[in-house]
Amino acid sequence: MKIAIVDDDHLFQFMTHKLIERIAPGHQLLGFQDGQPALDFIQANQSHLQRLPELILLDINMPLLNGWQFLEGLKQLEATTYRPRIYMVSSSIDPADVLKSQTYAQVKGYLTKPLSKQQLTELLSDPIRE
Amino acid sequence: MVSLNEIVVLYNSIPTPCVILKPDKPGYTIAAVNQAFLSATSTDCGALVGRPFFDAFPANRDDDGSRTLTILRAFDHVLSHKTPHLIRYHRYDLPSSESHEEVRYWNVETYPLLDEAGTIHYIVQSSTDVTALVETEKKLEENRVKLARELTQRKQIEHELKVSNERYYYVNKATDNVIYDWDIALNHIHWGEAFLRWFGYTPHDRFPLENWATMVHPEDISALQKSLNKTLKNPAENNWKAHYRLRRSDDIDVFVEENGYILRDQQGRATRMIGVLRDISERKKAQAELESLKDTYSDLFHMNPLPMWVYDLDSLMFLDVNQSAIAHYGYTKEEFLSMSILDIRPKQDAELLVSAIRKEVNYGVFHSAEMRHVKKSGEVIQVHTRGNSIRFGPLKARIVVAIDITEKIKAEQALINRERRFKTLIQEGSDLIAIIDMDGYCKYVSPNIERLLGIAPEDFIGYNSFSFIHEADRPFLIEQFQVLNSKKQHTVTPFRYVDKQGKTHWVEMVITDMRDDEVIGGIVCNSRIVTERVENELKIKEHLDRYNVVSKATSDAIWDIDMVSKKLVWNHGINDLFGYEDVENDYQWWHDHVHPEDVNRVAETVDDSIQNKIPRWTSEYRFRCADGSYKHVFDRGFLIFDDPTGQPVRMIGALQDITEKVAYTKAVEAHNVQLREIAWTQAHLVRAPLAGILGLIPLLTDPENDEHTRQTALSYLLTSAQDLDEIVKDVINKSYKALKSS
Repeated sequence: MKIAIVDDDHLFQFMTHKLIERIAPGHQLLGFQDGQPALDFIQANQSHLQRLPELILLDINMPLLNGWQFLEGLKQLEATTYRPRIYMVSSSIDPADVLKSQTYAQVKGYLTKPLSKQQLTELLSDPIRE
Repeated sequence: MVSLNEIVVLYNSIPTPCVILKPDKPGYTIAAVNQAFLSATSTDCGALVGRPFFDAFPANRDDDGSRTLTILRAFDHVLSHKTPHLIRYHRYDLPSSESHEEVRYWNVETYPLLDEAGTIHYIVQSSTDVTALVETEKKLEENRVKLARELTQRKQIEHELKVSNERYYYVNKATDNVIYDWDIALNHIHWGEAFLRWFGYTPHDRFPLENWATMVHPEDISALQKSLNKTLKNPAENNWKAHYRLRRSDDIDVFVEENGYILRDQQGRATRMIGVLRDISERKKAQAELESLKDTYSDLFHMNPLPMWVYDLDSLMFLDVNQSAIAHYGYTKEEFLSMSILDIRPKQDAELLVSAIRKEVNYGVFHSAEMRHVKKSGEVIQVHTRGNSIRFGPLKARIVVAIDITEKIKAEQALINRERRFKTLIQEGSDLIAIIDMDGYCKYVSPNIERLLGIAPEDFIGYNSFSFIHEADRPFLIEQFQVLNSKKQHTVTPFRYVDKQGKTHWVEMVITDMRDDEVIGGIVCNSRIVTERVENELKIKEHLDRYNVVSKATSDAIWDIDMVSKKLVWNHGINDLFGYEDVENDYQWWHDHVHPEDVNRVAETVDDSIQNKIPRWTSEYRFRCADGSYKHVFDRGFLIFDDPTGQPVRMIGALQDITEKVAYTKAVEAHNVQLREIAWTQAHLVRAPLAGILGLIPLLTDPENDEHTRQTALSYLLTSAQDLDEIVKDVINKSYKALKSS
């Protein structure tokens, strides 16, 4: 499975890679430091679904294109055949962010950093869970 | 019994015609006839003997059977009674030729010839010709009847003559007409009694024609005699008429009219003239007077200012018209004379007119009517006509005078309409109208008093109107009436009227002095019930009083604006709150003092309330003080709309100084911003390094991770701890500032 980690935080990228490698080695991990390069990648490959990540762990606060703007951009691509599972991942515990994430149909859940081994195990072991 | 031959011999010696018959009913066969019979009937024996009787002597042509039946009954009588039977004057005509019968009458005796045993052997019919006797008797009877009739007629004539003579006698006595009887042959005139009375002559005077001629006026006699002689000589003429003057015995000439009837002999010669003389002096005099008046009457017709005309009662054609008719109707005289009276009527009235003329217009009867006429211009006018009969030459005519009453009718209708309008205004209007004297006694009140004040007019008229006025207002009202001694009209401000049920009505009144007017003769009071208005005004006044008290007590600046005149009134608050000693009392002044950034918003709020008929509105804005600074105010407005039109008439409001409140609110809001920033910092900035640290710890503690991973994790741990320290310091600084500012 292709998993994209969209986060400007190197520490989070580092910790998530290590955890996935430990829990379920063999997944292809795609790291993006901002929402914009992630969206550009999807747009460039939307006719090749096999190249696109099936699971996206999306940070909210990013310098160029934040998590919300990424979701709006993805909506505007109108890529009807591409429907990845997206999880908002943030260190914020602001309930407003949690509520806002629920207004996007593609967002399957809101996860608070740091991600635990158990959380990631559940995400990876049941790829079709919604 | 003797034989038939012996019987025949015996009867042949008798001069009376006899027929011997056999008793063989019904034939009664002729057995024999005697010579006398054959001679009388001019027949022979052979033609009769052996034949049945009624075959030999059939019924006459004009016999309806009754005469034959008489003979038959005689035979039956003889057969049954065996005794003789006599028929007197039996008619049986003997034939004189083939087609004629000679009228003959007979005395017929029928008897039986009996034997000793009483048996009838023959029946003898003996007939004596009595024709001459019957006819003689007939002529005698006819003469007798004729004589009787003549006698009756003579008696009748004698009676009629007597009656006629009596009538003539009494007519002579009674009449003023002079009756005469002139025997032309004897040249003698017998005058009736009236002649003696009228002309003073004696009954003993004989009046031959010469005497009469000497009595006739000399100027008339020649023509008169000429006319008389001409008439007498004309056998076809039996009547003579003449007018002339006749001298009385006292030598005075009188006008007479004579009508004579001429009696003539078989040769047509005049033998007698019976006639009548009438004294027509008075009539002549009247005619003369009439002639003298004729010109006057003609002037009256032609110069009459009213249209007049004469029309033929039969043809309805105009016969004459006067100048006024020509001028009024627009037709020339020639046009009039070629028209009938139907031509000056609307077509739809023609039938009615003809019917009216036939029914109502009678000769000699005065008639008047109202109808419509049409002028030549087509204008329809209403006229009153009066007509009477006159003779117009040989024609029966009507003379008509027409009075155009169109304007009069219009004026009357206008008057009726005015009266109706006035009555309606008085009865249905909302104004109560009364006429009273200076002491208040009512002479007239309009009927609507019952509707307006619930009192019947008869309960008001004749009573003192002042007694109905509220006791407190009465002196004021009486005083108001006194004003009329110095001016004609005066408006009285509302006062109270108390009706019989004790209910109070506010009345506003205009009083007008019409004491000098003969028709009115009093003070005309035009009153209007204004109870609702006055009570509303009183309520408003009460509210205003209350408002003024509240206004003095409140610290708000209270304003009251007349939405029509835009006049605005402030209470003392405008000075207390904003420092204004003098304000301009208009809307624009307020408008100019609202902060330029707020004024449009506030004006829109007010306009929105007006448009949507929402009485209450509120708005916060800044209002400029006398020193140029602005104060935050909270304005509460209340709009009053006019009931019928829905337009705003008034707006009242209160300005509350909320400057302190606004400042406080701003401070709280700023504080809240700081608190939100701290909270955000805690939620986001603090959690980021903290989450890092929390995530690194499992990597460090997991023995399965390699050394490189642990070293990398430791360097991240240090960075995260430093970031966290910086953030905590910042939070402390911001919290301190927030505490300091609050």
